[in-house]
Amino acid sequence: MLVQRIAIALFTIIVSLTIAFFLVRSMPGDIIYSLAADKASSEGIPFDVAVEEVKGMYGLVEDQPLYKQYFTYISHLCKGDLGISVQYLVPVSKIIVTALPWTIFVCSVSLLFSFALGTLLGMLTAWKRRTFLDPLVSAYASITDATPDYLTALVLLVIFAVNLKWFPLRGAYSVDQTPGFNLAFIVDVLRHAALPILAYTIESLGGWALIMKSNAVHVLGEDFVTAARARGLPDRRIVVSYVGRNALLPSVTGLAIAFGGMLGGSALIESVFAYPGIGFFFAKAVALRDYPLIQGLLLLTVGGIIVANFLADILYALLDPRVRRQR
Amino acid sequence: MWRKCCTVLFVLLSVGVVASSETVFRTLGGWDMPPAYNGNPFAPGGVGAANDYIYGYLFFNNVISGSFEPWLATSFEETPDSLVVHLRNDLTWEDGVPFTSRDVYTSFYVGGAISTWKEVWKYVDRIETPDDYTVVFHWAPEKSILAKTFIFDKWIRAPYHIYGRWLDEAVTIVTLRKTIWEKEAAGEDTTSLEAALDAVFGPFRESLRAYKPERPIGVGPFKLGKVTADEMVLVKRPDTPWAETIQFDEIRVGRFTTNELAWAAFRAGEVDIEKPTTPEDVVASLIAAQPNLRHIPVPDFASFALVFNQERYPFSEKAFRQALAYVIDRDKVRTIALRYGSTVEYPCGLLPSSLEQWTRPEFRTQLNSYPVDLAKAEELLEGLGMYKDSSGYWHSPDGALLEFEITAREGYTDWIMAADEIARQLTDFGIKTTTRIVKGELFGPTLSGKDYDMTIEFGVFAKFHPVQGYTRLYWPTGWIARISGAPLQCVGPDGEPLDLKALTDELMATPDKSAQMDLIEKLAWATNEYLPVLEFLEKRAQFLILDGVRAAGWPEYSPHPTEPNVWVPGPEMLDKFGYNWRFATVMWMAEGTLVPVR
Amino acid sequence: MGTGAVWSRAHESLASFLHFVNFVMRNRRALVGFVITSFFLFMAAIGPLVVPLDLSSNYSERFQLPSLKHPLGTDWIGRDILQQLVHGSRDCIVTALLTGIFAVGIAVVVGILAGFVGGWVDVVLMRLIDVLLTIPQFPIMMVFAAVFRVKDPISIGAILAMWMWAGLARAIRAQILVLREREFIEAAQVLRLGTWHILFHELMPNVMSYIVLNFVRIVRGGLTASVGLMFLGLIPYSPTNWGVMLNMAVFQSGAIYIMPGGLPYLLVPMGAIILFQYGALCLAYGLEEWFNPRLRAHE
Repeated sequence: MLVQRIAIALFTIIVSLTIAFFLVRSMPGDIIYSLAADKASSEGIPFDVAVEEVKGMYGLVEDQPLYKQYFTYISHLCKGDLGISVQYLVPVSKIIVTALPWTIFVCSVSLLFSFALGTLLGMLTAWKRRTFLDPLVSAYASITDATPDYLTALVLLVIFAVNLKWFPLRGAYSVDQTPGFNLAFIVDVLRHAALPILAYTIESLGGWALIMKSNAVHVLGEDFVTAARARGLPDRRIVVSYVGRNALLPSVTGLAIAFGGMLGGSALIESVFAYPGIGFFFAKAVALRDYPLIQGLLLLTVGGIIVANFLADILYALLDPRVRRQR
Repeated sequence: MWRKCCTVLFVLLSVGVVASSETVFRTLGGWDMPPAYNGNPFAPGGVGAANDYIYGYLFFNNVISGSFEPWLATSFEETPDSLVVHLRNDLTWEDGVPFTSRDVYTSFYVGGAISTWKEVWKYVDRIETPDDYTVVFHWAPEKSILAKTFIFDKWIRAPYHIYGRWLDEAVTIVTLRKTIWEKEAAGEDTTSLEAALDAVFGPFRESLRAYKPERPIGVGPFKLGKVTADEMVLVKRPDTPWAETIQFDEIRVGRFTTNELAWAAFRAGEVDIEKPTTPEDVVASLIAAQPNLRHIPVPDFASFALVFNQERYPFSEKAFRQALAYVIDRDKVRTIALRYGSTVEYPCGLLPSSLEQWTRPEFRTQLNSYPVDLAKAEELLEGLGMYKDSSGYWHSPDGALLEFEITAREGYTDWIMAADEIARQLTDFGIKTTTRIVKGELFGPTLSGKDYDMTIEFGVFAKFHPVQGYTRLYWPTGWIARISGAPLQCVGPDGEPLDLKALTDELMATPDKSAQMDLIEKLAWATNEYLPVLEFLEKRAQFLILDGVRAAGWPEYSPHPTEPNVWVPGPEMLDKFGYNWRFATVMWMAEGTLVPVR
Repeated sequence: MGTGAVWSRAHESLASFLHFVNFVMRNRRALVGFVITSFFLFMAAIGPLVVPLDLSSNYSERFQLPSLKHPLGTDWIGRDILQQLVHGSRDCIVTALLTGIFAVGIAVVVGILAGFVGGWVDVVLMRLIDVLLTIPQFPIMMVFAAVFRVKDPISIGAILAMWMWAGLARAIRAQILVLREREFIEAAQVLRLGTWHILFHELMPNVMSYIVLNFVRIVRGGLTASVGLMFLGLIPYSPTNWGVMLNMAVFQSGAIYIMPGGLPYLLVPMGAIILFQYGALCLAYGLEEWFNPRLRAHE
């Protein structure tokens, strides 16, 4: 049963990657003009000169027919070879290995924080209905949902980094530090990560709270909870064992899926805080039509989401016996 | 528990910025993040913002005053046959190898091979290096008034001891290309030559791009220290003749992501110089937060223009284009699109900053400034047989409603705003116009495929000489000529035929300034009358500099007599910022004028 | 059917409608939501007819705080914000609602089908969703941008909904899987109440709250996503779109650095979006309690 599901997951990944392969290569457009215009404008050189420079540096001709390229790609993929970035001439795996850890670090911590805080808040709101908490949380969620992530990050930046100067303006670590397991470096990394994590957490908190609240409210309406209260069980026990455990289920699968989506990088964090992450390379890869790099990065997102969904399904079945019964 | 948290927080906050005891100069820039970053200036991911600090020009071009300042070279002599350049004899590359004429030779051939450099190699026959510190550029039969300027404009980035192994192929490629250009000009067939070129160029390019040194090797006063994703450190080299006068130990370049973040960095006092496009009120608020901040707009030698697709009716009609020029309030468009640009008073292919330099006063009276004159516009439209319906909208003579689209490139918000404003002005007049944003990669094909009505584009780029603008407009290979489909022949003011391409060719080859002005005046008149493009503003770079926080001794500048929060650059600053501001800071440091604040 | 039956049917409907009205009046949350949502719908429907629109720029009057002349202040080139807000409301709200309807509609059908029918239908649909969730959007949108020009809200809503239904379908299916095993479903099946009845009268109401919650989220998402379509060139640029106003305020005009004059331009479109979402959310919670009386019981 499990083997079958794994096989299906793998199959889905291959199908997605295949579709992506052909989709990406069918993208219309001419990058020479756009790159040249940007270069001319920023470097102050004439447009025609910029065009020639760009042509000399970028722009590749793939001489093999498309289906052959595809088979090469698939066969390399099965061997675990992600190929070489056609523009940077650096192995795609090297780029991923350098950029991914930072994305994972910040996104995981943010996700865990926002999940933990949000779920607690949601539980509290559901338990204490008809108090100010409910409209407050709804309002908070609405506000953070509608506020662009960029704006939240920018405001935090201006307040804490520019005005108060508590945290640095950008980057993952200071260029003066030597990376390694020494205290100074670790503290430096934490200082740099503080604002991105804060921004991300503030933005996502509301969503988790609302989901948890909604779930919890439903569970609270269930008969077994009413029965538990009628039996005089202490509130804490009800909240944790009866309501909490049941309400948490859908959220947990949501968390798994959010983890999977994380592998695509976070545009918010990377653009505002210049955090070295997957997002930078993804944007560059698309702008330069660097197909192997695009494919390699897509593998992360596709793989991440499908594996996460897969794990979420299993988790859900494990945690909720009712789902296990299949027809 | 609470106390523990406080302690942790305290520790975190107190391990503050590693205060460097060195004197640092700060700016912003761009480069490809590690691991894509490398030291090959000819490959993607190479060098980045470090370029201007570690490499150099032969001469620095003071574009406004028109002089050439020695840097890697000391002097030059120009004859009808050649250009002789004398190099400094006291320079070394970062790895200790002396800088000689061989390096210039290699740079020109390898650079020309990979980037074509037609603006140099069409007019240079060959390069010779009679001794270690002399380079001779032998002119080709075809002449260009800009060849010398472009020669001095090229970076010397390919030292012989590193890039020499590509030299032979590079020479072959350059020679082949030159032959192809000659044959093309003579109208002969070039297919076999082009095949030969491809056969050599492909492997050469791949081989050159595959060279991935970890760091670049330069000849300038600074060398690359560390590079991370968000910061680049340039360290002063102790072994250059400039080391004695430069008093900054480090230049730190932070990553430039967006304008808003650049403003944040300025507000925090973390940047000494950059030129983000900044709205008026933000400038005011930045200066209020950082009283040492100075805002200095400098001409950028490029114009924004409305380009007409002359393969579509009614843009093929001169009267229609002129009518639109009488409707559009260019000054208002400038206010909205780029407040600190300068409005183009006479749309004629000449930038406002160079108009007086290249035309005579009597001629300027002949130019049409196309003031806002709706009555005149209506008259012109009616002359074409167009009419206005009862709700105020114009129709073409066959009854079709006039409805158009202005395209603008995504990401260039000033273009989008300009397009939106122009669209609204035209709609208010009675010609329904909307704005459509086109993604960057699709913009080029949309325009070259002539799949547009009107578009916002760069009008002219003319940093060195007006001829650069006219080649863009009137050479068949020029971008505007290609996308607008405008005819290259027209009728002059006295009824005589004007061949605009021929005039531009002649201008490119005529050194005599008075003769140049004659030709420029003809081209300007034609552009003003026939309006292939309607330029509305000249771009100005909004320099923001911090004076007296980390660095002092900036060249002379003064407060603007009428505008608040604006300063006017003195001649030295104008020249240097006009050509290359990063390199300018290095030159001022080398002079010993730009110094750290103690 | 005799007139008596018709009359009693009508009477029933009227009674339940009055019940509903009574519920809304009593339930504070539903009332607030109802008022806010109606206000926006009213603005969208009547507003553009009543309020004039003058988009001519007036640079010297830029970034003004609210005054009699400009009740919500002016934007970065001196145009009245209230006018822009009202005129933008129609397109924004209509597009957003259509996106929500399309996305939720497809998600519900697919989700219930997959969850209830199960078997290979489930497997195929889930794989389809997985693929849709994982293939990159940008090449498809790029192809669209090169090929299509759309102007009507229905097409826009359809394009936006394309990317928004898959996640919801998955979640609905998960809920159905749980509910399917519940006793009342078994009971209904034993009683042979019919698949249609089970689907719409037993399953749906229980998933309803989840659907409604996500409908609100998708509607808001559609509102801001339409800006993306504009920047791709699929739809013509329109400065009165709330998302565009917000975009201009945050990214271009530097409104956050301009205190206090920049605040109206920044806060008004954001406030409108927030209020719209909040109102819809409140209404959603209220409706939730209407559909699911159990939720009302807990105090």
